[in-house]
Amino acid sequence: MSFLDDFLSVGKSAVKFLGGDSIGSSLARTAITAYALNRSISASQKKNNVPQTRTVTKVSRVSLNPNPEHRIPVVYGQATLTGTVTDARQSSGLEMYFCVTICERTGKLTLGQGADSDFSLENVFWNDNRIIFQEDGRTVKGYYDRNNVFNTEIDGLMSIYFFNGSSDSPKLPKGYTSTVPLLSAFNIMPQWDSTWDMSDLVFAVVRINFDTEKNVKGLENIKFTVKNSMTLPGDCLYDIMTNARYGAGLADEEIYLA
Amino acid sequence: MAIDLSTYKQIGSALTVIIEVDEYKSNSNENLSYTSQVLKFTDSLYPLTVDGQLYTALGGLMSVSSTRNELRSSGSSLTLAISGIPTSRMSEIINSKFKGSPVKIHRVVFNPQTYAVLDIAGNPAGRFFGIIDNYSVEESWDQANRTSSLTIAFECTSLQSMLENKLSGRKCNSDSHRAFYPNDPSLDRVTALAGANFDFGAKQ
Repeated sequence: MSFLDDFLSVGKSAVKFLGGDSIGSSLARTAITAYALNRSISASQKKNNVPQTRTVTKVSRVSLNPNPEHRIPVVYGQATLTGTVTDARQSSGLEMYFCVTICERTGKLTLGQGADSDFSLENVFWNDNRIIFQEDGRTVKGYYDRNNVFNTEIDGLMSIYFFNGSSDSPKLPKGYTSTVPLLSAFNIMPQWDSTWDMSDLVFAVVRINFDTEKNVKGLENIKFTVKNSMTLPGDCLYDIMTNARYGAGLADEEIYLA
Repeated sequence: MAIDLSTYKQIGSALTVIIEVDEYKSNSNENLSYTSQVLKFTDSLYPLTVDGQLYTALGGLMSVSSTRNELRSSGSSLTLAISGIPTSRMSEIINSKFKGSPVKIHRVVFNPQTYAVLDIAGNPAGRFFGIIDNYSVEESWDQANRTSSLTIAFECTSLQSMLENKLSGRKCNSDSHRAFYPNDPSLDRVTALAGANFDFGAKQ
């Protein structure tokens, strides 16, 4: 018998031991399997070079609490208002649309006999910073902060669409002109159709793209400076006395107009 | 506006009343629908024609409570009573909807000989404008003639009092908006948004 025969006999004994039913053989098999698995994973990770880190998604929870008892204000002349969010839609995880109702549309000028009163958007303030638009008059380019420093970090992340009394009456802010066609509100707000007229309401649709790095996480504090073409005291008094929606609702014959 | 009567040696004056009732039932038959009726009458002894409108003469059967004459306009109430109504008209009074009907009372100056209204500036002069707030019906029994008659008393509130208590303005809710624009759903979601949360930035 040579030394090779001794190796074979030892090997046969080892195989016979590992294949057995004893506690020892069972423990041995478990240890061998775990070791083999560990070596396999380590080899795989080394090959793929996978870093062992955890990723966290930052989400901003936006809560809206519009007051259903809030009476829509009436503006004569010029005023800065915060408005009330009357609708909000999330078109995707990173994009939201808000409908902000600003004020009522008033009646006709010249004691009710002239042209319709016309509203213009003078300024928009976002977190007390004055918004500046791109050339299209709708997409936000940046803002001037309180130190009059122009900041463009929110460029393209917001769009503001202003409407002068109905969904079919879009209007660019004061000082902007654009050849790009203006869309109706129901073509901008998701899930709106032509019946969503926002009748006799001056409002704005605000589109916001989520970006935590640039601190754009919601509508935040937004204010609109609107200007009504109805400024004469007589027109304003006549309007508030005769309008049935927000005024006294008096008939013409009950008012001395001479 | 002051009326200049300096050129007239004698004049007569009377109160004229107009009540516009939108839902008036002239018959007790419940199958008949309501009609719009304008009631015009005066406390003059003879009928008066003012601005083409003929006012029925009630004389002493009509009475108007006193009101204060102030330099500054103020809200006041007034009671207008009409007596001597036959009891056969009871159902007509009960079935008609007088509450909320506009009331206009003027004082008219006329020629006492001809009962023609004087054509001068400011004639007739407005006395009271308001609406009927409430009314009551009282029956009077005449023992001697074994008959009864009705007296209806309208409690009227002036327009100024109404305006002082009026709250106007469209609210940010569906009911208020649809009261003016029934087919516009623009504010339907306001109530649903209250307390709603949006996970801005989450994958959808």
